Amino acid sequence: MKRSVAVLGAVLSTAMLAGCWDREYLKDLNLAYSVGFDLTKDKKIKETVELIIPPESEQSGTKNEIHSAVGPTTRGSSNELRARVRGNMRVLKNGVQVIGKDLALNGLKPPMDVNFRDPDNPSSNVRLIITDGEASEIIGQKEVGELKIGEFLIQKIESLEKMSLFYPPETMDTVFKALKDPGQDFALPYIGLEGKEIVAKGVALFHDQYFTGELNIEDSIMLVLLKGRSGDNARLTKKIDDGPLRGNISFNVGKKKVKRTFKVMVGKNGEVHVQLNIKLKGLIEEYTGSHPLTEESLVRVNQELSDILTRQARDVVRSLQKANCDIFGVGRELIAYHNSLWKQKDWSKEYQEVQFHTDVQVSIINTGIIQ
Amino acid sequence: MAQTEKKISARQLFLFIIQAQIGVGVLSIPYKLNETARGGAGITVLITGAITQLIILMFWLLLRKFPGLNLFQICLRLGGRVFGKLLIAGYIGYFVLLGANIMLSAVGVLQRWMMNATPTWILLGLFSIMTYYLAKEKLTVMARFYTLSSALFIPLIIFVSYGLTQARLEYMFPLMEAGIWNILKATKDTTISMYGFEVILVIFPFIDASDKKKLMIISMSNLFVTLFYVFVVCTCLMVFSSEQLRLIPEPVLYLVKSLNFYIVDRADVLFLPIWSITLVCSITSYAYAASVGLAQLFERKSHGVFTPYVNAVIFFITLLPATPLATRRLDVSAEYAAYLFIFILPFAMVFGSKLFKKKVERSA
Repeated sequence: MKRSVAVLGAVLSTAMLAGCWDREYLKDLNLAYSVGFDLTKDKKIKETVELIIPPESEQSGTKNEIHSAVGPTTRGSSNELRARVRGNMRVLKNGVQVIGKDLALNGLKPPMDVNFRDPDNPSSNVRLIITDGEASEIIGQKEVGELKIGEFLIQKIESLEKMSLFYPPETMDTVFKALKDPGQDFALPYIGLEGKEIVAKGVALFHDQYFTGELNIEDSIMLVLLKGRSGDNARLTKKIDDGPLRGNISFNVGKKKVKRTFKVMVGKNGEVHVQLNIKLKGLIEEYTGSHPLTEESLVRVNQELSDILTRQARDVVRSLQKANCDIFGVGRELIAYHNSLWKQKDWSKEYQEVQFHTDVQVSIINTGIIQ
Repeated sequence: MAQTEKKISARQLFLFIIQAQIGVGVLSIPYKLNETARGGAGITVLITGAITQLIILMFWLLLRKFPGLNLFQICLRLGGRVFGKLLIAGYIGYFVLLGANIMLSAVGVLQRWMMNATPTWILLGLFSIMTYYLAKEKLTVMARFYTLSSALFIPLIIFVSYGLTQARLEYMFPLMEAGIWNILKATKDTTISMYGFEVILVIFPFIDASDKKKLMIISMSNLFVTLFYVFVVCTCLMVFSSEQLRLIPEPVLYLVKSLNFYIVDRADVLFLPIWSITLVCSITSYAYAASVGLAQLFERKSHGVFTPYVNAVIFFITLLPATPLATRRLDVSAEYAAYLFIFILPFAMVFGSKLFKKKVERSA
């Protein structure tokens, strides 16, 4: 009796436990490495994907294919796509999502919803990129040099993050957070196509879910510094127009930590003041002037660079306010520490009235191996 | 040695209560509390912990009065043969209901996050088999398993702590946004994740320690669980803004999913199986308590023969609700059952034991 029960148990468990419903064989999948979304003229979503095709023999490399389809929603166009590609298309390994400008102008929330809702969609390491044209054109490049388009985009964004163009990295999750937060906006990498080349143009600024403005490359670096962050390097080139020191100076402020003071203060009549100061430590990498950079002249250089960068920082803040992009989270500070005031405010309108007091201080700590 | 075979040690008790208490509730309390208590959620959890402590104290007063007796025997002693058996049956029903409730929520979470294609009854069946194997054993065996699986708290805590890298203190402020009244009212939403400590009613006589030490150990467990919950809730509140949290019913999992470990992308898929072990412990505690009750009801020595029935009943109860509404109804009934069985009835028993004190002394 006992023996037969044991045998029955063994048979049953081999029959029942070996199987698994939620399995997917890699050989059956077509992995999409990069995805692009555009808004068509009749307000539908056009999805373009780069599929990676495994090699047929072990010696040859993988190939990629580009497909696109139009549907009423993101998932809808994915379903359309599945009718076109061979086998099952999955985005499990998706690393980058390109969004066309028209779609970004129209709001990110509806097309992004599926990314947050379906747990199978990766989100923690997916970069979002905005392009000034059509995302399908970017993905449609298929290959850049030796690299497939998806790999190229990821490598490009990651290297630009190290160069402080975009930092800290914005992924699907951080964007989700900012999309839902009334007191915090975000900026995404902004790229474009020049001829056959994919060029970084700076950052695209967002308010709520809408694309509202852009910053060029130098200003993007300044924005990162104003956030108090920097990648491995943050290189700026400025022209000094001051007597004997006249010349161009290239310096790197990303090697040392940025010191930042950020204070949100409320005046008597409920007006909001923001004090935003950063202190940068720079390493000179290039100087085309003829005067040697002695200790005395460095004082002048520090003064000049601080002036130039302060002016630039104020311009950046003005552009941010014009775009209504509360990237520093002033609204979040108000929610947290001045809640009753926040409730009276219509932040979308009143953010532009915030008075920023911005100041940048540069001190050169290294001039390289010559003076 | 026979004595130590039968009883569990103080350290085992500590982990036993923790394992029984921490269940599926913690995955969603940040979400529930965000609705009601907003930034004050951490305070709510602390208050709930304090209330739980009071109930534990009440249990202790009751159990101390009847040395060597567990809940069911106390029921018989106080209620007499007929009424006492009715009480026991009620408690058995309660334990089964709570076990079923945990199992249902656990399987729901597993299906939503990991196993979309796996049929519900398979998951329920696997859970039932696991709990059956544990609950039919002696208490010492269960305690050993709980101790072993407590090691799994370390990765769980590490996962959640890693979320602190994304935390932003401002998200939690203002602390008192909801007002003190709402913060107090929100304790109602947290109590359900505190349940599990009532297993002491059943295992109390089988612990190898003095009464005072038992109380201290149980209180320590409660403190640990409360602090763990405060930590989890505060982390979630600092990582997600309250507008975002409103959309995410299981913020703890969402938090783990959004962590980037470079090689591992979906950390929640690692988190859930580890978590399931803790859930199995919770369900097992209830299944064990119900079987012990049945053994008392039918005046048998060993509870093991009743465990299959308990597990079968739990399995069939969990099969019934198919819609979220039905699940919600089970949730609510479990909540109200808990008010009755772990608050009102034990309170009445303490009160009753005072009245019948003389009678008890005479019979003893």
